[in-house]
Amino acid sequence: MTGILLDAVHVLTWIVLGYFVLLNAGYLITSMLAFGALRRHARRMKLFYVEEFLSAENVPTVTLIAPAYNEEATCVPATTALLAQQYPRYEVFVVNDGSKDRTLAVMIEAFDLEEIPRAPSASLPCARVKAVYRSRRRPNLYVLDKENGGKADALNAGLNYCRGELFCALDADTLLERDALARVVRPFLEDRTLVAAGGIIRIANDVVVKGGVVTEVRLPKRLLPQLQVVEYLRAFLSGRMGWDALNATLIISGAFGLFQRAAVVEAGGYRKDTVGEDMELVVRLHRYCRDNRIPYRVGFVPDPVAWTEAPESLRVLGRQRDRWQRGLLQVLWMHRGMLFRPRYGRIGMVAYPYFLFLEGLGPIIEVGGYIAFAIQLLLVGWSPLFALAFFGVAIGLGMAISIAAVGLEEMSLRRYERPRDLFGLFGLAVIEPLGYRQLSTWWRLKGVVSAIRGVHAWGEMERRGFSPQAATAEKKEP
Amino acid sequence: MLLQAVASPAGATITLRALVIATAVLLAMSVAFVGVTLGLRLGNVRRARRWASLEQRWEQDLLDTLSGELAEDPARFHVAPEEALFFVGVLARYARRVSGGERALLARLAERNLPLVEEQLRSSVEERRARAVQGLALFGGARSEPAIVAMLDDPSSLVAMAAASALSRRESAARADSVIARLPRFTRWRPRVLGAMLARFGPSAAPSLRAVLADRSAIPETRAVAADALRLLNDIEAADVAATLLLEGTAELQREIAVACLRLIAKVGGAAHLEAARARAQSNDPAVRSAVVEALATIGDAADAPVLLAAVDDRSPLVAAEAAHALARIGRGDLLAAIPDVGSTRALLAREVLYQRRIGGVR
Repeated sequence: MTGILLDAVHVLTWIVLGYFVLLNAGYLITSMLAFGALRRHARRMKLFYVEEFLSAENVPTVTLIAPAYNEEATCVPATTALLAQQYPRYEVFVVNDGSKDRTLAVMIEAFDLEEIPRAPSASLPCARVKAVYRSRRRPNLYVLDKENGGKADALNAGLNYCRGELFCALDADTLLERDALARVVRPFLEDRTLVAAGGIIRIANDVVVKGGVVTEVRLPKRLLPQLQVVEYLRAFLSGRMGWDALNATLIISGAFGLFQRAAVVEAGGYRKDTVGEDMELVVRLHRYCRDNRIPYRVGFVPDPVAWTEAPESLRVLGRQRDRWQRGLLQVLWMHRGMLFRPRYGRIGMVAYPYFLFLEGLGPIIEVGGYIAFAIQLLLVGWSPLFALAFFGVAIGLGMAISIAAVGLEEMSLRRYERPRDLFGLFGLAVIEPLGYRQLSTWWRLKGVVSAIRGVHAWGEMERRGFSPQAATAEKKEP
Repeated sequence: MLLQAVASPAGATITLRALVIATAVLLAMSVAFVGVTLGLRLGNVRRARRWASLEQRWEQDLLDTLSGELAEDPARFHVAPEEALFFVGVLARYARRVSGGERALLARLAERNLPLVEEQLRSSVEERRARAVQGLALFGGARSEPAIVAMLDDPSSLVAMAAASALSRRESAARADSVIARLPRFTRWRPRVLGAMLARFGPSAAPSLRAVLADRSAIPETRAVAADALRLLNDIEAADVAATLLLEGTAELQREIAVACLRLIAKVGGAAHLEAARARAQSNDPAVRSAVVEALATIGDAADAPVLLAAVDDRSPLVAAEAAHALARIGRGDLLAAIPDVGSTRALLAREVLYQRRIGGVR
């Protein structure tokens, strides 16, 4: 019996080691690619004059679609911030997704909305739209009032009624920097084959916001959102930038992504049967374009910034990570036909396997590794020193990659100007692999289990608002 | 194997050593990354301070010179050779906001630094070459033109596009021909950007653009871009070329050329081109049908109103919307008002267009 157990542990150990090497090799490769790409991007940005760009006659019309569910506390400042974009041609569509609170009434009052006749220009599946409103004071603001159907459903409704050449999918609480739209549209002008591009998401907790504009960037005061700052820097600057350099972008955050409307409508819009609708759309666009031999590109642009509030409690963060992991696995399962299929190029041969085996199934392997480790200590007689050394390698790697991400931030975008914030980021990079990473793995493992069980709930997100004085709002997703 | 190796005393020692060394290497790497990041921060802060102080030093003199309070004297600015590019960059920022005499004054101030900018045309970094092209285009005048034209053949399409865009800042047939000859290099860019750029060359570019549009051996993207530019130039003669293409190549004419030709006819065509537009009315492509509707609305006659009304029922929502707006534009809102309000998409569209017309937002 002990022999069988040891054999199993033996196999598991090799799997864990292989996973560990591949995962970190992946991180290292994307970090190195991101280094070159960010340097190139920073140089290229010196050629780009936002003011000149904004005065151009030929920029495409963009529709910002912001789904809102029970957002009566935050919908007015959030919409006001969206209306402050420095971009010559855009319209804002706030989609009231059957809110049970006074979201619609508050919007009607604040923006002097009137009901207008508006015909849909597409027929993507969505719950019944009850009315379309337009602001008398801000003619580029529309509010769609519809029956509840979830975020994907609300985005489809917005897509049905908007007419912009490009559309920008946002979360209700996303705070876009004023030039974000101009910066994310730029690559669409330079590359006609670009069908989708994502910008960078940053943590807004405790940054100073005045009039819908971030005026001072600083690290959050609480540890949990602080740790997420490092996590986001690593995910966006090392991860997505690196994947973009490989031309294998598989994820564009639902909080801020710009898409060619026609391409998305032709591909069928957002799917409502997954909690990872943002990733699913990107994967489907890859699949659709490759299946139909349409030249295309999906990209990531590091300079347009969207700020978002990060969870401040373990409970909410755990639910968020559970949902992300579930979404990832649902999407990969839906598109399992792409795995190792050469016709899908780097997506099928590199990105998909990476996300499936290393990100999707990673938590199982990682937790399995911890168990195998404990068994080895007990049954094989590994010394505590040996265990310590093994953890030292794991922690050292995590630390090095996180510090490299902080370096990439300093090299390219430099948003954290205060020296204490920079040192804070170093400190966070050191402590992040000690406990937080393991906690994160646990939440992701729960996400794997929920995915297998077919759980489809979104969970709650508690919001504090962008300014410390803002009222606390609670959002309940159906 | 690993377990056995680890289990044996010698193996355990070797593995332990390897792990300790790996940990030490990783920690050293982390410390090195911290060092590099701090170095970057110090360098960035120092550079930013230096540039800020230089800018502050130059800015006041620059504003006083521009306002005429100080006499024009490039020597006043004390620009060291290593500061030349930055100085030209500062001047460029102002030059983008002014024109005429003020732009000429800035060019004179920049002049003595331009040889250093020209040197950057030979840089191995493509973005530097592109920036040099931008600087020379702003301040180099006719003297820099050959150098900029030569950059159209730069191996980097970024540099070539910077050169093309720079050349398009002034109306000139010769400049236009240089760019038009290299259009296939730029087809990755969005057609509307290219069309607008070509239109900036002015009416003297029209003959070359017409030739590209008519050239069946040219790639479709460049022909469509040429049609777009001709539309922006309001080139009346181009309508004949477009109509000929639409009538002759019914089957094989690519979608983007057909759409661009129809939009060109809509802008500059007349009754003589109506048949060419009507010939495409049954296209399978909604983009083409939508462009037909646009053309019929502007150059069509009374006989086209029923066609437009029928197009309000088109299976493509975009064609239907274009047709409804077209009816309002030609003053046949009565046809829209007659559509019974039965809650159909068609009725909703009619109400939408009539509402927009009422509030003055008709396209």
